[in-house]
Amino acid sequence: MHNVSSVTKVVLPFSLMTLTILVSSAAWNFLILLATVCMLALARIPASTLRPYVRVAVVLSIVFSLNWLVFGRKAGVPIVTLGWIVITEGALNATLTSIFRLMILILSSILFMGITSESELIEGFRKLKIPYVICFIFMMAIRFFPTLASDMATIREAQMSRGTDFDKGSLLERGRKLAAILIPLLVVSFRRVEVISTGLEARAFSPTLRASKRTFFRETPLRKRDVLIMVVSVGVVLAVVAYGLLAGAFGLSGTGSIAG
Amino acid sequence: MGCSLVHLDYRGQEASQGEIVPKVVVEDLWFRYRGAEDWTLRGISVEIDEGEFVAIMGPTGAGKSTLCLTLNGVIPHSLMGVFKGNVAIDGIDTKTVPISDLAKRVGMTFQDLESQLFGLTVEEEIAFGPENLGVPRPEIAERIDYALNVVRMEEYRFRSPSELSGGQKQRVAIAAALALRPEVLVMDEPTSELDPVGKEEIFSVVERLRERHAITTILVEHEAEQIAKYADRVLMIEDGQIVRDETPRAFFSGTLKQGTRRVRCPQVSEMGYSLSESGVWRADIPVTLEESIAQLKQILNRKDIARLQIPFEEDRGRRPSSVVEVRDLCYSYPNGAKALRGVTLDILDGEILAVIGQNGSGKTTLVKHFNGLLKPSDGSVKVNGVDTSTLSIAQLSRTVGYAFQNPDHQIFCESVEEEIAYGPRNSGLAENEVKERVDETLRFMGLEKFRSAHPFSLGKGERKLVAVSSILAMRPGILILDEPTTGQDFTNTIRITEAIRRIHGEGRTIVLVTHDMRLVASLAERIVVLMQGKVLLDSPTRSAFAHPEILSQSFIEPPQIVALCNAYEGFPTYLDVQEMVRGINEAFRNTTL
Repeated sequence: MHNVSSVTKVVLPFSLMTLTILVSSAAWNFLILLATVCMLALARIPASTLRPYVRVAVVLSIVFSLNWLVFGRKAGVPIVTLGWIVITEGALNATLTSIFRLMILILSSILFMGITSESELIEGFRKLKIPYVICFIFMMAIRFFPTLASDMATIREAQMSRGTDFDKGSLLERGRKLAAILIPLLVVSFRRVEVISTGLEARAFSPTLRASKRTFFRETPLRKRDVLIMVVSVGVVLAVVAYGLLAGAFGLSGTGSIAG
Repeated sequence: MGCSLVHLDYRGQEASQGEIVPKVVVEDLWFRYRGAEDWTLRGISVEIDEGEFVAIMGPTGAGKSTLCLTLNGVIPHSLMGVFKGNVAIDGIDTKTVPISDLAKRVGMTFQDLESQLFGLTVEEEIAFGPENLGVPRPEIAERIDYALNVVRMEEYRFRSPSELSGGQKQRVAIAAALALRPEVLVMDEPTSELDPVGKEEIFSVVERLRERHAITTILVEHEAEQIAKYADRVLMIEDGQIVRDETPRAFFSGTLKQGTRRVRCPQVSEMGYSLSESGVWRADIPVTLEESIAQLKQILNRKDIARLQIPFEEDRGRRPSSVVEVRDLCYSYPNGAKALRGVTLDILDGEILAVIGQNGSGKTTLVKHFNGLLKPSDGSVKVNGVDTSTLSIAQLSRTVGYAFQNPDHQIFCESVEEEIAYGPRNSGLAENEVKERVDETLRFMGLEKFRSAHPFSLGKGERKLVAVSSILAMRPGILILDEPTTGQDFTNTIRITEAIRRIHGEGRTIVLVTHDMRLVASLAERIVVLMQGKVLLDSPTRSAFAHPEILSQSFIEPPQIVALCNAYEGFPTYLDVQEMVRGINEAFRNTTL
């Protein structure tokens, strides 16, 4: 899983996400979930990485269940009746779909982050013909976000050392106190941007640089299995879309199936 | 210009070979930034030969960095302004070629460690320049290997720059510049944000480049002692003009003789000069430690050394009470990193204590416990007898002031006055009392003329003083100063040092967190060395510096003058130049009488 091309690493998890949003039956979503879990296993993502996210997913699932099963709309045939609680088939389907979707979205994001380094992400984007400048801006955002966060943390501490209590006061006062963080952050970041742009130019970068004129030192080769994985995953997405368009009534796409 | 002849002579080359084109030619260069009223560069002319190592010194704001940016074409191509005169690299006028072409010829590194690295890995960082130039992949691979080798960073190839130390980051920046295979390497204050280990790392790269790679190097630096060791030539820039252009030897002795000093000189030169004034020193003014050791040997014999007075230690007569008591302090960051592993320490009322150690040794983590920014994971910290875990940061801020390293992390008001009033206002003082404190602080720090100035418009040194003032106005009994002099030029360093002395003179306790050993030697009464979250050494400054072997475990080197004293057996440990000069002068006066 780690040895596939960077494009595959971007395409595959996003196909999974697209699929689950397109497909709205519980059974089909369960299949997608199974596929996602298989891929996580293939990618050897350790259980310890998954655990905190799964915990969040479980909590949200309970909330979903309560929301739809117990308090939600009562469409379809009732299956269980416990006093005032009536669980209908439609509600069950909707609940399970939401839970599976949530799981798929979380797990495929983990899959994505687990197999893709930041550099591969950018490379994947680039291979998908996104203009180099946009990929580059995206890369800079990834690179400098932690710097910005650390500047902000330092500024916050520096102002707290001057007796600012950011947690006290009315909403308006708190808002005003934020100026003590935001102004220095703006000034420091502005200076940074100046150095960054000078530094970029010193290293022969220019915003008008086109990908065709540039060498990319690390390129992960596109192999047969990449093509295979991508054809399958994009193919499935397209098939579902086509099927949904032609035969929406069968309950694969759109939300109409739940109500109907 | 006449200077090219001069340096051709001292480099021992045939001055008659007129056809050699200098690598860098700057002719009557003027530059004014867009929107600025004054010229930043005012008629700079200089020629630099291939393989020459030129150091640029001068006060902050003199135009050093601006000059650097004209060499790789960022000025005038990218930074707009009024540009007059010519800059030519290898005979090519920078105005006529795009920056990307110049980037191949002139590599550049910057002071700001964070902002000059864009890659997500070290390898990407180094590949970035050649990639932009469209260099074929196999050649990029070769260049990466070469550049990593020069800076000795091979094993960090796939690391993220964010995991590296400051020195390593700057080395990566140098490697990234070298990967462009430049003929000229320009380094703008590469060491001013680094700890002693980082500085040493950079200078050893510089030395390797000089010995083996014969690349033309231009280095902007405040570290006089290193310049004396490596540079062929020193340019002094003041108010946008080159005011001196000499060998390091001529430069430093000339600067000392001039009287009004605007740049740092090696401590041994300062000493030699002062002693020559009193007639004790008859040799040339030394510029390196090795020279001064040899020369001092001829002036002082064993008997003379025995007569040298050990500097008078002020005896306070009583042991002052502790204002901060740290007991078995442990601290782990939320990510599990253990920053402090059992620190026990007392800070005495009215002392100046220096907390030193490598980056990552736990210094900042320790002092953040003093004003409650951090609370112990284990153990305790008491300030004036009260456990900090029972107090809020806001409460502690009235007792313990903390001025952060970068004043720009603090400054946000419209005027200096407002900035200073901010802290006292937070502690709930009445407006008339706030005003009184602001007035007093401005007077005390000599900032009255900047009262209504916008703090951001001030120079680097003034901004630091404003930041310190804004803390001082809260009248804390204990003042923590994080790197007060780092990155400051000579004049500002002196101003800040004097300010600290005055603040201390008012009876406040001062905790310095710093890498600046000159500052430590001249101010601190006691030093605490941290290493890997533990106290390696807690001792009076003089005895700590007298035994540098313990300090060297933490890669700390005493100031040059202390190293000179330590080179002789039985020599008293003088902490600064004045002390040593006074000591030697007195010994000689006694013999002549």
